Amino acid sequence: MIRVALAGQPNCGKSTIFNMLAGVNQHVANYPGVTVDKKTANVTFGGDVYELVDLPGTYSFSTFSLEERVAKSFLLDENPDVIVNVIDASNLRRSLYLTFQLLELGRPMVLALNMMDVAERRGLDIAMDKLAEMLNVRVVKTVGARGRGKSDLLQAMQAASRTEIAEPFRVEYAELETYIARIEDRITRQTGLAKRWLAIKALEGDEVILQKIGLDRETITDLTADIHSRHDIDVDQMIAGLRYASADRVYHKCVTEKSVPGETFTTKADRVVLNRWLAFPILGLVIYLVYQLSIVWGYKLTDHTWPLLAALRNQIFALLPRSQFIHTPLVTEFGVWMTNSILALLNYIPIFFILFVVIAILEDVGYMPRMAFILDRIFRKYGLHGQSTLPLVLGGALVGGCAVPGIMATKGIADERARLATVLTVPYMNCLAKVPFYTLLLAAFFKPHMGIMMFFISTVTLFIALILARLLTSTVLKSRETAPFVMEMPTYHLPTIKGVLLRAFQRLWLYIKKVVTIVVAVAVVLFVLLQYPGVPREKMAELRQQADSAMARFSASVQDTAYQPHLDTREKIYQLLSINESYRADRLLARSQAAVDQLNSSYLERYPELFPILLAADPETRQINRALRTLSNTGRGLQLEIRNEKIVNSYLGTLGRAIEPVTRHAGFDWRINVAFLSSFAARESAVATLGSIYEQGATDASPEQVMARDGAYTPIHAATMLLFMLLTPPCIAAMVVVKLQSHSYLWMLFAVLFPTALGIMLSLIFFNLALQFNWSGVELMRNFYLCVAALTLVLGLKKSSHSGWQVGKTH
Amino acid sequence: MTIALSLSDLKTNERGRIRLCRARGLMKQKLISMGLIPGVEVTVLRSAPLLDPIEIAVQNYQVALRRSEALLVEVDRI
Repeated sequence: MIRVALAGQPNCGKSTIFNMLAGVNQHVANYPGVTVDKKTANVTFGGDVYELVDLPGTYSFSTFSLEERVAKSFLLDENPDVIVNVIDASNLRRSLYLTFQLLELGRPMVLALNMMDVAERRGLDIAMDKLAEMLNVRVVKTVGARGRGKSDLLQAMQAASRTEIAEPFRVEYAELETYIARIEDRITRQTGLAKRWLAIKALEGDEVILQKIGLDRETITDLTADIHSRHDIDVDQMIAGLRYASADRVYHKCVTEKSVPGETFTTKADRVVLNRWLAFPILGLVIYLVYQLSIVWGYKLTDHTWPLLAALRNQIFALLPRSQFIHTPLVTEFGVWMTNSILALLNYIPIFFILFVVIAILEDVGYMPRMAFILDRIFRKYGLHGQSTLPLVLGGALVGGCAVPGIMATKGIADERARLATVLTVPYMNCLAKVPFYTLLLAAFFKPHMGIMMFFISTVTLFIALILARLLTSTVLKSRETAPFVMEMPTYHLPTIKGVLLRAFQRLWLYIKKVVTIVVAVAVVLFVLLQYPGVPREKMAELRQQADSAMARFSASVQDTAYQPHLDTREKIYQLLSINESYRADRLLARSQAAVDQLNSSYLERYPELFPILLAADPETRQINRALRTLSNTGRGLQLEIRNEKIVNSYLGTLGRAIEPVTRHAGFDWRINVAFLSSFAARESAVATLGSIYEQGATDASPEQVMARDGAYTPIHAATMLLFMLLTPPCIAAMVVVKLQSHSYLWMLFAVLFPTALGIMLSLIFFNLALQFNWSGVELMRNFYLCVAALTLVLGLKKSSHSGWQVGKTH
Repeated sequence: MTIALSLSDLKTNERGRIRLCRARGLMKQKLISMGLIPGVEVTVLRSAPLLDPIEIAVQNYQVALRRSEALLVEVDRI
């Protein structure tokens, strides 16, 4: 196995080279303990197996940024056999800055001159032989985006792995050479690394290297002070200057600029995209398109994918033991619960996939840094970063999104403090699954004011997020590492279909793998909390008796009919009921008359004696069918009652009632508490639970009608519920991604407990204020909105002492 | 005749040569690795629609930085 590390500066097209070499056999993971992607792949060429590792893009090899630390420690500790340095050929001079540092490591190396097409278009003629000779490495031309140069690169890798380099290239450090030599003499430890490289890094004051070679800081400080007094420049700047000078020399010897490059496309495009007056409209359009494409159309797409999932669900249900009238086996209940929990998440996959595709396109095109450039000034005021825009939009800054892709999109934020603050505030955005809950309450209590209420709901969340970001970054996150806002504005590139799809699928797979597995675990816990200890004995006996008399009535109605022999035992009636149920479920999925006919004939074949009852084609079967419906309705009503009794008596129900003394002051009774508690599993279940608790007895009224009619609640209650829902913690899936992106269960707990506490507090305050001052529900919401908006404005105008970069602070 | 200014003082389309960089630590490293070192020529390309950050051309490519960071870079106008 030959180990190859791919190194290069950001935006050099390194990932396209990696994709070209690795194809789809990539493995994506994280470097230990950090959120930096580690892509690896095994490639076979000429009888050898190469293990490729894609290092994070770095401009240099200092230990300051996370990416640089990761890349450097990989090169130092894992000692790859070959380094492939990917270079943006159209930007050779700057790229060489990193190349020199890699060469100094003294490892076998291959130079991949990528984006040769761009370089040629700009009239650059690069003499490869000359470059190879000067740097003493193999040089290969590639166009990663079009898959050109693959075999050349593989051959060069193979050749490099088999030869020892005799004389590594040296950057001449002029007056510094004597100092470098002096440090080299002091290095006595065997590290397996080139002494010269270690000495240069030591002179740059690199702590990691100093420790590695066992030199103390004072020795270096003495040397650097000496250099500073002689040359009036800091050593690190001097070293950088010499490297750039060397790069200049190499550039002039190897590159001929055939034509004076005219204005590049990027320059022209930026004049429009970053124009003072056009920047915001264009940004708005892009965000709107992202939103429209993924959330709106993706949601529509789920209308088409849901039947597939529903069919799958029916098939799984068919495998479970049938329920016998009102008695459902535990296995079946568990199976149904788990299937529903998982399918609820899988249902969102079309949305996520489109989102991941759109994000990948925006990343590859190069619009992301521009977005940050345009909005940074606003976000910085609240401790966030220009790059926080997209995560917040995806999270639902526009009426509804999903925190999961939102939080996952925080990965690129360079500033660690702003990144964590974004991770923790994205869940406050309105998630799509909250929308049904809002609609339910709005339709029940605020019919005439739905528009204005929806406006409050959809815009207040952004204010809340900004306020919290400011609070977090000036308190708990205060000591977190920040990064200066110095960001390359890369040239625009046309994304490749392969690259975009690969990344989208990788992210989707990561989501499925991580989120679904954890949701499964939590769903099991919730199942137990909602199922046990179960319905009290006396209540169960009473319900059973009702079931028995319903069965007896049904038996009486089939007496004297031709079907009596097929329905003379309980088991046979149970079977009829379950056939009826599965037929109804399948019937819902049959879209055309032909499908219905086919369904009917297959049922008739399977159940020739009983199926005519369901078809109800003659007076006798019609009569039995009616009786069957009554029975089945009674059964469903009883099952519902059992379910409600179970929830009421369950551990979660007990908890809901236990906290009622507190929540009552915010207007929440235990029923609402249980609904909120169960909404942790997935937001959808809040509506489902409320629905099932309110559906006492089978009425035809929709849950919102029942709620409005139920005298216990006023619009103030409803407004308080809305207020609490706005602040409710993320669902399990979002919590899992918070954990993944913050690398800490503590932050995950914080992300759950803080909003809950805040939500209860604010609900208490505003509910009581409303009672005190006789506000209507709309007034309550409006006043809450005004308070939040005012606070946001005040914080934004107040000068922050720490929102910007601080001079001289390293961590 | 050149006057010492900060990078943030340069107006759009003005050019300057970096005289010294008062940044320390991470900021300094970042500027160095992006090629902002003494002696290098920079051109201010534009400021963001809200006037901060600014975009400059340096070493044949474009870099965006906040004004608070640009203040730390002293330049001679050319």
